[in-house]
Amino acid sequence: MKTFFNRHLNILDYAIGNLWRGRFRSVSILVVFTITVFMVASFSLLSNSLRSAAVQLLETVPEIIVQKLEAGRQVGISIDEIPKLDTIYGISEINPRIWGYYFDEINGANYTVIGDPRFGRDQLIPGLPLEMSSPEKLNPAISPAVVGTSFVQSRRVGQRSNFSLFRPDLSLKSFRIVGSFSDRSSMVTADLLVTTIEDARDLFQIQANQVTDLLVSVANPSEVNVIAGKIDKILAGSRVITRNQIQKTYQVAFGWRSGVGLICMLGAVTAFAILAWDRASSLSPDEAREVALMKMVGWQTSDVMLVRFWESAVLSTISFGLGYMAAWIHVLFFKGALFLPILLGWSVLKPPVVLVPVFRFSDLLLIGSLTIFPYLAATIIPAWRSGTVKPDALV
Amino acid sequence: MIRLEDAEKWYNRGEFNEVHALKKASLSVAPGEVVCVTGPSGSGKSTLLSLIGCVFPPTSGLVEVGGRKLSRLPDRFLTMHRQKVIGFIFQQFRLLPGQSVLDNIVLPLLPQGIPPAVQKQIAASLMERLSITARKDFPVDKISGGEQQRVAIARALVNNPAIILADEPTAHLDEQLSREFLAIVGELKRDGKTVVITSHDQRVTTDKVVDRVVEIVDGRIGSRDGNGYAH
Amino acid sequence: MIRHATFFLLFCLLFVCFNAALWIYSAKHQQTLAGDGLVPEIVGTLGLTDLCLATDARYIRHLSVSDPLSPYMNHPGALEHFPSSALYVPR
Repeated sequence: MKTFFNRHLNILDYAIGNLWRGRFRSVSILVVFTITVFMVASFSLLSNSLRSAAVQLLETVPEIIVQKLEAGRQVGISIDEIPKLDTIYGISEINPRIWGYYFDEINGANYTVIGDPRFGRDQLIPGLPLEMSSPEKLNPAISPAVVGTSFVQSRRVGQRSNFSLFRPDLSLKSFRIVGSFSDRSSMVTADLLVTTIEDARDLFQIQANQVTDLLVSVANPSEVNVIAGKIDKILAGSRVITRNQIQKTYQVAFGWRSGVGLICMLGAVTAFAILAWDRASSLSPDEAREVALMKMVGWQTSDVMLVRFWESAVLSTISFGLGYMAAWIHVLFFKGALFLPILLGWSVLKPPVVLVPVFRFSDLLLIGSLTIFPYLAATIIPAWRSGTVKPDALV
Repeated sequence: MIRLEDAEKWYNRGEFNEVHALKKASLSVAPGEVVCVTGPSGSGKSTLLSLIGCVFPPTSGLVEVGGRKLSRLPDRFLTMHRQKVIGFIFQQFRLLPGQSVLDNIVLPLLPQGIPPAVQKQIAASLMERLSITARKDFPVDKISGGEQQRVAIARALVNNPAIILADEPTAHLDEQLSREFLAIVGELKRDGKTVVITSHDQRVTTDKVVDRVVEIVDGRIGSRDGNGYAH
Repeated sequence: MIRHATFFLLFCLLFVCFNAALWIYSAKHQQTLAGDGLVPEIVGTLGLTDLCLATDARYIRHLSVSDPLSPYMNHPGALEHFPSSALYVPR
C-alpha cells in the first residue's frame, strides 16, 4: 500500500517537474484552460444564481391566477365572473386586478402598471411595506401612485412627486407619488407603478368592470390543483395558472437561455480541446528519446502513461481551481458583468441585480465535465502514443 | 549469467525491408566476467546488446539472462526483468537534460515506489563512490563530459543490477576519461558484476580488465581472448 | 525533503478553502437577496409573479400574463425573440 502511494507520489513529482521544465508550454495551456473554465463556470453560476433567486423570491407568488383567453390570446375578464366562483369551497379570497405595461416613448422603457382594488384614493394597500409614504387627500384629477426605484430614475422624477402618463388617446393623466418601494426589494419592484384599479383602468382605457386577471388565494395549499381544475370548468375559456407552474416556467425560461449560452460556449470548449490535442500530440524526438530511456531503465508503459495522466490532472486541477474561483467572484462581486446581458436581453431599465450563487455539487460536476473531460479526452491518445514508444530506439 | 544458443533476430521479417541482424549467435558469459563485443558498425553489436539487455526477445533460439529465458516473455515482464538485473550505460549517456544529477540518478527508482529519503540515500552512496557528490544539484547539461559519464554509470548501478551493459562507452571520451572509465569497470568486476561492453575502441579491447573479446561480423559471432588472438 | 506533490496538494487544499469561503459567504448573503424578508412580503401582498430582471418585454417580466404571440408584439418595430433581442436594441 505504501509502495503504491509512493509510486504515485514519485510519478506525480516527476510530472510536476516536467510541467515546470516546460513552463512556457504549461502556462499557455493553463491560461487557456483557466479562461475556458471561467467562462463555462461563470455562465453556469450566473444562471444558477438567477434561478435560485427566482425560487427564493417567488415563494409567495399567488396560488392561483385566472385569466381569460379569446382566440388563444389573453383578453380582459369581467368582475361579474367572480360570484360564479363562490360555489367553490376552499377559496379564501379573490382579488381582481389590472396588470399592464406602459411603454414610455420618451426613454423607451417598459413600466409595469398594477391596479389594485385595495388601493384607495386616500388609503395605501394594507400590509405593503414601503420605504416612503405620504398618504394625503388628493384632488380628483390626480391619481395616487406607488413606484419602484428604476421608475423614479428613468422618469427623472427627482424631488418632484407629480408626473403624467399618456392614455392611448394621447391625453395626459396625472399621478402623484404617495409611496415608493425600498431599493432592497428592487429585484421585484424596480419597474413597478402601483395605483388604484380605477386609475389603472382609466390609464389604459379599459372598459368598466373589466380586469386582466383574478388572484385566487386558497386556504389549504394541498387543494390548489383541485380548485384550479374547478375554476377551469366553471369559467369557460379561462386560463388558470398555479404557483407551481409559474415557478416551473421560470426555471425553464432561464434553463433555456443558459442552455443557448452553453451551446455558444461549446465552440470555446472545442477550440480548447483542439489546442490541448495539438499541444499534447506533437511528440518531439526529444520526448520520444526521453520515454525510450525511461522504459529502458525499467519504466512500464503504464508508468509512462501515468506521468502523462498526472500532468493532465495537475494542469486540470490548477486551471479548474483558478477558473472556478474567478467565476464565483465574477458572479458574486461583479454581478456577472460579462455574461449577464446574454441572460437578460436588452432592457432600458436596468434594475439593480443582486446575484448570489448557490453551491450545488451538480454544477461542479457539469462545469468539470464540460472542461476537464474534453481536455483528458484530447490528451489520452497522445499519452498512449508516448507510452508505447519502444525502448530500442535508444540502442 | 548470460547464455545465448543459436539466437536469431530478424527485423520486419517477411517484409521488403527485412533484416537478419543476428545469425545463429551462441555466447555464454560467466558471472563476474567482463566481455567486450567488437565489430564494424552494422554488424549486429547493438542487436546483441539489446537481446542481452532484455529489450526484446529473440526471433528464435534461446536467450537466458540472469537465470531467466527471454523467449516469448511479454513486454511487461521483459521490462520488470530488465529493471532487476540490467544496468545500461548508453553511448551518449542519454541523461535527461534540464534535470539535476540527483534526479537523473534516481530515475529508475521512481516507478518502484521507493520513498524520496531512500532514493537519496542510494544515490548519495553512489555519488560518493563516483566522486560527483559536489555536483548533486547541478543540471546535467552544466557538468563536464567525464562527470556526465559517471552520472550515467551511477544511474546504471542504482538498482544494484548483476549485469552492466555499456554501448560504445568511450566513443566520446578522451584518453584520460577512457582510462578512468576502465578503472571503474575494474571496480565493478571486483564487486562481482558481469559487464558486457560493445566497442571498437582499441583502448578498450586491449585493456587488461577485459577478459574476453567477442567479434561479431555480419551477424555472426567469433571470439578472441584478451590478448587479441583469434580462437 | 519536500516533494513537488506536497505543493500541489497544498494548492488543492488552498483552492478548496478559498471556494469554501466563497460558498459560506454566499450562503450567508442569501438573505440580502430577499431584502431580509421584504421581498416575499411585497410579492405576496401585490401578487407579483416575476423578478424584475429584464424589462424589455412582457413575456420576460411577467411570464404568467402573456400569450403565445406576445414576443412579437411588444415593441413597435422589434421582433423580441430571444437571441436577437439579447443583442439588438430596437431603434
